[in-house]
Amino acid sequence: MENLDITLKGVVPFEKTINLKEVLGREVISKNGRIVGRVHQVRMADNGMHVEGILVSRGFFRSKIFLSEGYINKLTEDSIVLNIDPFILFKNLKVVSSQGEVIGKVVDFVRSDNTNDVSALIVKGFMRGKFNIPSSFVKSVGYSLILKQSYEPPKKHFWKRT
Amino acid sequence: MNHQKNISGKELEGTITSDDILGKDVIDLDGRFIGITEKIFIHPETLDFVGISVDKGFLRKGLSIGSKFIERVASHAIFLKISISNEIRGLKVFDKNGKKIGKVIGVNLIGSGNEIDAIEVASAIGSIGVGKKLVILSKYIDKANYNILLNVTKKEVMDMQIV
Repeated sequence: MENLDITLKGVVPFEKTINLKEVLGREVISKNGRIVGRVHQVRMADNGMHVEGILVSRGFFRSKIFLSEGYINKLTEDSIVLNIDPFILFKNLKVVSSQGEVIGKVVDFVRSDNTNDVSALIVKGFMRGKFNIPSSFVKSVGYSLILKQSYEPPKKHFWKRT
Repeated sequence: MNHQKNISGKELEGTITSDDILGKDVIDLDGRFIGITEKIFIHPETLDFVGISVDKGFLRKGLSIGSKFIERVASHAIFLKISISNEIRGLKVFDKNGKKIGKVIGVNLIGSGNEIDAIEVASAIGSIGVGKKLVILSKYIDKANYNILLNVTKKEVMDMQIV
């Protein structure tokens, strides 16, 4: 490392800091190891010197996602590890009833404010149309979304009177 | 339904038949669709249900799953109470700081069970040397879900290989 004149007032030594430029373009990994995308921007508050969050680019034709600092577990020069699985990763996931029937795919989410807390899923199924499933009926989420036995999926129909 | 005489000495209501198992999707604990049930194994003497054989699709090796790993047989699928360890093959491996180490190319299981003893990882190009294989013990695996996250750094993994 080149010789530096360090002027320090805070408690974090220079060696313990990272160059944010190095973070750009690095992979963002969710809590369970899913790759969310790559760091597009590191955002700081306009009135301070604190990292507020990161803007993650998810590839062509996919919207970027902003993740605030509270959802970041580790920010290193290699990658960013989150302490959540962002809700956006569950889009297009198969929804499986407790009987093992695929009843549709997740197409959207109902969230409380702009947090990662999903209160309901909007699911679209073949001959079932779009319907909401409150997240309290979700048993597990992984490669597909499995529902609890207490959830009764809507019946299939050819035509529904509005 | 054809009404049959019952000479089993047991009430058969609530039981399931081979038709309820064969041809069904098999879903593991992580919600992965593993394949389709193609055989049922029954012990020839005790007549106990031993397990199922799963067809994983064209050109893919089948899999046998013991009955103790089956959570329940539902009307459309069979749910397992485990994640199939062999399914982690091909997943990316990251160290505890999110540094990429490589990809899983092999899974060593303990006996004929589902418990992982160690994983074999092939390097990412420019990472640990092309063609080099790393063996990582299961105790260093923090999470094995969509990808593998270790609880040690890449440097520690490399040091373990020397020993």
